[in-house]
Amino acid sequence: MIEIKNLKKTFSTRQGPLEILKGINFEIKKGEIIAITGFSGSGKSTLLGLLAGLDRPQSGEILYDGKNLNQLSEPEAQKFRAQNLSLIFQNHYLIPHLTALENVVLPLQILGLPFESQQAENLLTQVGLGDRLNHYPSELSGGESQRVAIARGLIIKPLVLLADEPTGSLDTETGNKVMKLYFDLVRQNKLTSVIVTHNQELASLCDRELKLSQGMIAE
Amino acid sequence: MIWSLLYSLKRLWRVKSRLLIMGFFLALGFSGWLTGESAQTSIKAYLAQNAKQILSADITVSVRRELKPDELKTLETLTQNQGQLAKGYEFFAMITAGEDTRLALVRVIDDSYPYYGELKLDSPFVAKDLRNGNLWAYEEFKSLIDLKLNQKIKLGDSEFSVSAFVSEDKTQTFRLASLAPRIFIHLSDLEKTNLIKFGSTFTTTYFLKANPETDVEDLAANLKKALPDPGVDISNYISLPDEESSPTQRLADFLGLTSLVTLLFSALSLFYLIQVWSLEQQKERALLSTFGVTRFQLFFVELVQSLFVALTSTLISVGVVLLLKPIIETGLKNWMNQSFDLAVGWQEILLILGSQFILLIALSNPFSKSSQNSTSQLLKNNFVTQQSGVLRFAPLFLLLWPYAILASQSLRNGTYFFGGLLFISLSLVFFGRISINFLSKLKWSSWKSSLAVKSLRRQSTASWAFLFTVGLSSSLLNLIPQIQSSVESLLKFDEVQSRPSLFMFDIQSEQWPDLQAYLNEKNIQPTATSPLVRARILKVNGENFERKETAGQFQSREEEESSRSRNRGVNITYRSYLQNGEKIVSGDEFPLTYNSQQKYAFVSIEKRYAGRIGVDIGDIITYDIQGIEIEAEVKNLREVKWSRFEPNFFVLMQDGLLNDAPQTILSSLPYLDSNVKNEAIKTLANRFPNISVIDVERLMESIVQNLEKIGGALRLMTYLTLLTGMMTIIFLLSAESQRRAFEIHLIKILGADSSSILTNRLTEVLILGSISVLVGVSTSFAIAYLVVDQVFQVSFTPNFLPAIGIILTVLAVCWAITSFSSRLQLKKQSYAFLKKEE
Repeated sequence: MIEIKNLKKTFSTRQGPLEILKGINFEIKKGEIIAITGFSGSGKSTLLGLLAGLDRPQSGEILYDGKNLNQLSEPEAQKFRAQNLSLIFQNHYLIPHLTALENVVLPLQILGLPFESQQAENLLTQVGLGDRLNHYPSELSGGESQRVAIARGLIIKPLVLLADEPTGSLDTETGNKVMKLYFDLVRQNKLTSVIVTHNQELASLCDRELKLSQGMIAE
Repeated sequence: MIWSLLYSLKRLWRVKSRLLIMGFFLALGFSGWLTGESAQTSIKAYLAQNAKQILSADITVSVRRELKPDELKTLETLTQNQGQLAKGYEFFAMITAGEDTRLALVRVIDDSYPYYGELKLDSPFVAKDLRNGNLWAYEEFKSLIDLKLNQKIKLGDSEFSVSAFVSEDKTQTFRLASLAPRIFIHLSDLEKTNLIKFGSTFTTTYFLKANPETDVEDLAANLKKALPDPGVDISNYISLPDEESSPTQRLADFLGLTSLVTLLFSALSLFYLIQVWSLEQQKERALLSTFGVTRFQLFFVELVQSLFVALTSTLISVGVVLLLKPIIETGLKNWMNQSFDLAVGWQEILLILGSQFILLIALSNPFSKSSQNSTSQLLKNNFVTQQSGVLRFAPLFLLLWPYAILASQSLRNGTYFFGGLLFISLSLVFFGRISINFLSKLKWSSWKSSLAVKSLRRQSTASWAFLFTVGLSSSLLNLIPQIQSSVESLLKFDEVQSRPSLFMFDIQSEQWPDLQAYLNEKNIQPTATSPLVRARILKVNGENFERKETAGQFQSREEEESSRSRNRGVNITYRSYLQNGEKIVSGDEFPLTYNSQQKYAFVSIEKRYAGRIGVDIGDIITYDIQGIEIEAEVKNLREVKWSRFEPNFFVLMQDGLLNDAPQTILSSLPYLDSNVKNEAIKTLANRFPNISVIDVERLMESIVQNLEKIGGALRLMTYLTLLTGMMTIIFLLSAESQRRAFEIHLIKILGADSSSILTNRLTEVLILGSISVLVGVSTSFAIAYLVVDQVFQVSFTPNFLPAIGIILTVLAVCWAITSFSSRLQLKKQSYAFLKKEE
């Protein structure tokens, strides 16, 4: 479903060009949950940014069902991302002046898709926040906020759910609870997911783990 | 302590650019304030330094009559061996030069005048001797009636020759309405003019040049005790007479008040800035407190930081004022015909340094511990829960009140000013809330508008800061052109036609039949003819009505006005009808004809005058009218439209009681064609030389010209306010885009394209901008209406052009800045931005 071919990414620094990804190749099957692990600075987040179409590589291909993301124009890439990909961050990044429910329906509104708020309410109920629909992010705990972010990620029924250190800001117990919920929902909705993490325990729960080291995949 | 100091210094270095921005914004507001302050200080210093020149003596004793023999004896006894005493007079009279006739303020002087100060004559070669029918005239007469040197002019029953023109008179201060330019004649020539006789309006002044060893204040106090009639005005240069200094001081006070607005803008920017950066600062505080740093140590760090910002800002402010110095000095010279040295003293510098420091500490409130943001929450979250609501701004506004009173030295004026700002602010709160609530109830089909309205409603601190700044700026910007256009409308033809053309005073009763005959012959119907009876108040409710004494300077303008009203005689009229411009505002109407059965005669008192002399309805006032005591009951209070330029009086008594009292007559002539008017002036001056005639239209022109000069001073402050307001708006908008960067990037990642995000931001800013500017401009119309109606007493003439200009400019600035700063954000890599935020 997702094919990554010879992906390279270089950043310019004051000391000269810095090659973060040195020609990466891998495939992800539909419905598969992949963990990308590695030390800090190994290029995990850079890779996720490229997969999400938020950044462009120097060379290589990212194919979603055969469609090369890098050959799409900026507006086409933006449209593709909006319709097919969802991102979940380490810090949940909810809009502080919107309620949990409003945060969840926002992606649908942006895409101009018809929606019933019942849809979002159901999702929030599924993540255990059925009674916190009208609460603002400041009134939610870190774990609860992350669950809202998961619900927001799921609302557009994406092809792929990309998560960047989703438990990074949570304590172990909360992190485990949130991820259990995450796996349940991803599997239940037969989604494909890529999780960037350095948490080995979390990586071991995924279908497969890809280790990034010195800009290369060391599977 | 050492740790705190070292940490403070390190922190200063780390956030130096941020602190410099704060310093810049603080300086922006304080530059305006410092400009106002230093102009005020310079004007006051000028008045203090030149008090002797303005008074032209050490002590003056003035009275609107001749001193009685016993009073004169007392004066001479008390001033014997204390210095030189000279006598002078001042009165209005018509002068005729060739074909032209004009009103002049005649100052009658002797050889020793002025003891201090200088009358600069235009040429060193002219004959400076005033005796023997010579006269000096202000240079204005050259342009007014084409007066030339050595030209013969008729004054009263005598003829004079212009021996010099006065190019500078240091005894004259700035006045809003100058009825006529001055001429000077010698005391020995007065009698032959035959202008001072019974019923004439004149002031007799005795000038004392005190010996060096004389205690001037002590002597003045003794004179006041020995001459108890409140109508006898005794002034000394140490406490400069208020009538002389008041208009100039008020202008200075007004400059001070206007500059407070720039201060408010600056405080708003700063407050907003602190809000924007508060997350990081609060996080840092939270982190340090987990290491065991005490709240006192944290406070110390804050103190050092605030001191640095205040010092930076003070330096910038002083620099700005020094740059503006030549412009302001030229402006002041232009407005007041006097040179001022605008000095920024240590006192002002320390004052602004202290004020800035206190303001910073008050705004950042380092002791506060937000109940909604616990240490753990602060360390975990990437946003601070802002205490919502408009009440956060309350301390800022409340701080402004005492400052306004201090700046205007008047509880009333300071409170009016503060009240005006409060009115605008409350209107903004009220209409802002209503509009945003209304908008949020609407069903928005587009997420861009829906999100914008939600954001407006829920991010209240940022919204209110923006609303206040834009609203107040717009309101103040529109206020001055509105007042100006209404005052200028006084000169419009239909307004001119509704007012009398000529105002005549000092008409002797026996002249009236002849005057009427002449007017009938010319088919001119005099209007508002009123008798004038001079009186003084002896008692109020049986208590002696005494001179109001104060130790040294007056504490407030109200005290000053009250004192001035008490320490002067009063002119009473009697009529059996109310004029068009008069309205009873409290108390009962009374029969306007006196009935001998009445215990007291009834009087109607002008409302503001009643307040100043401290009388109310039901009070019994005992008047001394040419030695006869008359008791009168205050039956009602009246409002008088002084701007109608009709003979109006503070005290109106019933007809029938004073008819036989010694009196003169005041009258006015309705609108006349300019030829008829000029001929009437000439004939009146020839046939009735003692009657003074004021050309109302010319007076209005002089008032408008002087207002134009004051307008110049106000405009300078307005430009500074505009600059601060605009800078504040620009800063708020770009800071808001920066603050909302996270949201912009998140929405982008959620799938929104750049143009939609831009539309969202613009919708939000333009909604808020429109509410602010519309409410701001509307309130300014309301305030301008009140000022024009109450202060200038003319009908309000709105001028929509500047209002539309302000609305469009403010909205264009909102649009341009938001577009620019949002585009800058949108160019950044959203994912990288958010990762960096983590």
